[in-house]
Amino acid sequence: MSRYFKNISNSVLSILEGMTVTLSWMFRRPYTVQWPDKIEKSIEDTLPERYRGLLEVETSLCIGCMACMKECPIECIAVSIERDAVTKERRITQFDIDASKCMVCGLCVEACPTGGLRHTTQFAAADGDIRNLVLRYIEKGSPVAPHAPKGPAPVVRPRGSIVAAKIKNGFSARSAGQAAEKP
Amino acid sequence: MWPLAKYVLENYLPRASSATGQVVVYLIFALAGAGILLGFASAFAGVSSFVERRVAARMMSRVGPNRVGPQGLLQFMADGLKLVLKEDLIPVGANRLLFRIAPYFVFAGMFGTFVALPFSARLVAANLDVGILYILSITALVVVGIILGGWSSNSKWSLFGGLRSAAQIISYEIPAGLAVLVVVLHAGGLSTQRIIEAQGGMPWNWFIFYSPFSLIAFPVYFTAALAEGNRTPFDLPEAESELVAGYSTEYSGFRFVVFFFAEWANLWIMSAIAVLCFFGGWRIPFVSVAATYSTWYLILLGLAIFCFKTLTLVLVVIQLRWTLPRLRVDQMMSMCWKYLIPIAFVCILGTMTWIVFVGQDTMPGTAARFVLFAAGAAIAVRQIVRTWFNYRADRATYTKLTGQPLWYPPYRLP
Amino acid sequence: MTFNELSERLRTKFGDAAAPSAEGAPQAVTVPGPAIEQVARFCKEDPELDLNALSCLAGVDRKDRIELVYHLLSYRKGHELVLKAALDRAKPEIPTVESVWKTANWHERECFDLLGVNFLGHSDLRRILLPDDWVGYPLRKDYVAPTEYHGMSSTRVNPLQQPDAPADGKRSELKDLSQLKSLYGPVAGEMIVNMGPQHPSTHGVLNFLLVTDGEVMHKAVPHIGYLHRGMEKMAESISYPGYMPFTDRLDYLAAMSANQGYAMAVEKLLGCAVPPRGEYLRVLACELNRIASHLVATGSMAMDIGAFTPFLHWLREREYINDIMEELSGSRLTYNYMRIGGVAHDLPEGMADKILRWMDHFEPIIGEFDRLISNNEIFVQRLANVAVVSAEDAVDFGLVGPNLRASAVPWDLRRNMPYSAYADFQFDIPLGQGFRGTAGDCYDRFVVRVLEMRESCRILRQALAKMPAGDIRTKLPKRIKVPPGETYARVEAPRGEMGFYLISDGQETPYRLKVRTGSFTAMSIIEKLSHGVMIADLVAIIGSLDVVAPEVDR
Repeated sequence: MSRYFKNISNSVLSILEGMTVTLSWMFRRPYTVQWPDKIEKSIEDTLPERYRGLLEVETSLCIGCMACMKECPIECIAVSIERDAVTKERRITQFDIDASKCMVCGLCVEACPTGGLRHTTQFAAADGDIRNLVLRYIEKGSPVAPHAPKGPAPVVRPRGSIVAAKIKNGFSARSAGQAAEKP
Repeated sequence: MWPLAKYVLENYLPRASSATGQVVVYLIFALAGAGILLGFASAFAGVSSFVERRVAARMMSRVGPNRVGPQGLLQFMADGLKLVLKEDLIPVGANRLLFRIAPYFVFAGMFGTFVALPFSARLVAANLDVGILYILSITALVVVGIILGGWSSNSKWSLFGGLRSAAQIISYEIPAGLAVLVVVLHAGGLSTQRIIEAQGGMPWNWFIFYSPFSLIAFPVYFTAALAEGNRTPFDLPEAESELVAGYSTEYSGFRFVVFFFAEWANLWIMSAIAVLCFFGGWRIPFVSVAATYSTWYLILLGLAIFCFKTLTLVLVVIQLRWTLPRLRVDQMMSMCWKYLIPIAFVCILGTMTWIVFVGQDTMPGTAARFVLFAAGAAIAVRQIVRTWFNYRADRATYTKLTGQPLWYPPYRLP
Repeated sequence: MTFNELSERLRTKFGDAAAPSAEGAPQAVTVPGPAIEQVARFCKEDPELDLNALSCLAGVDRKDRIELVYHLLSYRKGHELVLKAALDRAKPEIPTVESVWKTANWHERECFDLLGVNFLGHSDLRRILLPDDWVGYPLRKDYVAPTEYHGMSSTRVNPLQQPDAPADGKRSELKDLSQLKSLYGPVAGEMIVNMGPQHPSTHGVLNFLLVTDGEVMHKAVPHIGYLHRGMEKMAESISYPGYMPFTDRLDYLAAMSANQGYAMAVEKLLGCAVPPRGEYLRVLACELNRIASHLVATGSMAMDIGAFTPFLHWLREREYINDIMEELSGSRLTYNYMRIGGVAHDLPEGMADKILRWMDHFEPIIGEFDRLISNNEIFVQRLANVAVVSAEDAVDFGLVGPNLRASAVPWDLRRNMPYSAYADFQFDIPLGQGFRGTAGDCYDRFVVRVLEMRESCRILRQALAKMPAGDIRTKLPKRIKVPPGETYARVEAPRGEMGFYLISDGQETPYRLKVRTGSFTAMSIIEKLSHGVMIADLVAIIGSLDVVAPEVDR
């Protein structure tokens, strides 16, 4: 019999207590960030230094060691080196990253000795066709000479600008304050 | 509508006073009244679905829909438009006739109660002498619709949901009716206007504080009404994690809008009945009944008061939905039959005893009313104090963690 | 008892039939196949050995034979033993040990499914992870993957070898899907309802076939394998360091623990030690991950019972942890933070302070959560006395982690078999005691998780206060060739013991990696618990056992 009334009193008291908790939340700041329009800085500018976003290659720093290609567990980087027929010098003819497959694990970035391959804070890249998600950092037909350690100082573009230019119709082009730069 | 129709007929259309003329004029007025109520109910259903989403979002530390239209106010129109434009499916093997008419039974059951709700002194579509009895009976029509919907969908999950819901609604009719009977005993009649007129404007003259038994009868009624409306904590037939939406799983397009509408309109109904029975309806403090009936601005003030009280209760219902988990089927049934019904019977017997031995205008009766009002106010104050305590416990650490102030009142709309 | 004492006791009883391994070889007792059941029963019932739990049953294709490896553990005595049996590769057969440990039921089904071993006397030997009409046994070394299954191709055109998309934007056509209909025929029998892979609850892709009589169920048969990705087979072709991101995906809610287990297994075989700061960082990461995982577990349990608000409050707190992890490792869910020999990055500036500030904010919120939902009478009534799992059943069916502790079995790897830096910390192990019902019911499993979050906060504070300085990672060559050997590394993941049985043959890729997860065995007990409960209770049971699909299926 006393269990009966205890049940009732427990129910009523715990329900009232729960209602005070939810009512107190009505007066607290919501956690939502209304992206991409109602924020002061674009998200890409607020992400931490180590954030593992889309990969980009500063080809002026690449020495063509292919360490990244060997380190990638899912083989989503394709680097090709050719010897120029005339000058017998090494040329990097292809540096493609399959962004649709890349799981941004960061093993390739750790392996890169010069820091030419790096993560950016770009995280949004969408396209209607999966083939357009292959990020080709060296255009076909214009091979790049690998960076020579004793050569002139390389021109290093700001982190994130190369891949931002590559992403066509992505969200990044529309977010606040982000201007896509030409490489 | 009949007194209004009669008034217009006698004073403005004397030549149409034949028998058929009366019928025609009355029909026109009845349809006009129904149209106004339908418009009101639909508007309320839409807006309250939107308000619920915003309120629920704030309780969950989110924002809620605020993109479609200014602050998201057109969200419900976008939802309604989307649903109406959807493909109208009838499952293979479903009983086509029953599948088609099931939503309309639910709709009729819900909408039929609107005609007897007294919005203010003269603003009641049909001033029935058996108002409350009519309201409680017509809501039983939804059971037919739900069983038809669940059965004719030709899906095991819909059948489960439909039968559970039917069992729930039928069972909870009883404590709802018994709790309302407590109020009827105090008022001395079934007519809704009479119930309201028997109360007063000030809080200690509301039926809820007339005796400790009616103070208990209110939660009984409220719980039973939540169960009738399939609202959490009794939304087992609907939002159960087993599947989608119970009896309305297989419905799409316009028929789903009808089910949807019925659920939200029911919010208004359950709160409106609670307000008119327990919280004084449209009674204005310090103003007599006769004055309210005769002056047009007091009628409007009564309407505003009625709507305000009902909307407050609607907000409480919404808050309960997002606070409480749901009951299991057997717990729900045991709550009805083992807890609510015996308590309701005790309340009725107690009320009868109270009326005979204590009465309401006597010294002990009035003293009891003030004491009960103080008790009710104490509960409300305790709630507010605990809410403030909950907020304060979080404030300092939040600001240290995020660097932003925690205070963000509900009227601030991001 | 040490390995020598255990194997000596077995040899006394069984003579030559229980042959211990040679000096220098991985410590195991080799038993002839037909004798396995008697040996197993003796191991369990002998009061000295008392090996009452079968942690892991792995099958290995050794090219000239198929080897079955049984990892046994004693919860009361704290010692472990490995039994091995060699089977003929042409016709692998062995008696079942299901009658000794009930958890062997599912482990043996998986072995049959992936290796083709026939377990004599098994009650229900059929495929478990792969579809019923699959041909072949994938974990065999000579397995050739089919190129198509019911008209669906198993290869994807590699975009790296394709030219760019055509400018007119034409997309490839969808294949004809009518062949899929033949797989899903009508189910005959009494009222059978399918609680399908598409589930409003958040536990992943799980399927239950419910045989019900109205509201009350006769049984609920789980069908798993919807998320089977072949993680174990993939490990055989990926280098040791390269497999680390894959371990994240074994259980994405407990990615740090999976990372740690794998790293520990490889480090044991390499004989490589982790510097103290690296160990502390590992503990820090794992405990933060534990809190995040329990937040999801308790929150989604509340959501399944019908209270939507606490789940979102918990996700909000989890977002703070995600932000911390993002600063620490670079990612919010699949961290890939640990490396073989240590961890990848050091604590950034200000992170210790941020974690402490967050914990100051979080611990009162746990109290608020209790007021909102844990003490709510409706919630308690839904969970108390539902699906009581006795201590004996919990051990027998292979439950681990909070599920095991809620049944009042005092076993936590961090306390009983300390690894990494856990021996340095003071913390309690919450046990189920029938908080509002009986010990081992759903409510206990819920409360144990909430209490564990508090304990994790304690560990975090101690770790941050005592963090040693120094290296975070032992320098290892880029290409790791692990010396031949085998090992079994256990970690206390949020869902229980996660065991990595790693066999290496000296190459750059593992020879065999078997992952033993807590959710796999938790799923296996659902069928037993579902007799006579209602459908609404089934949802509570699944939530309280904290089953996540990627752990079940790997």
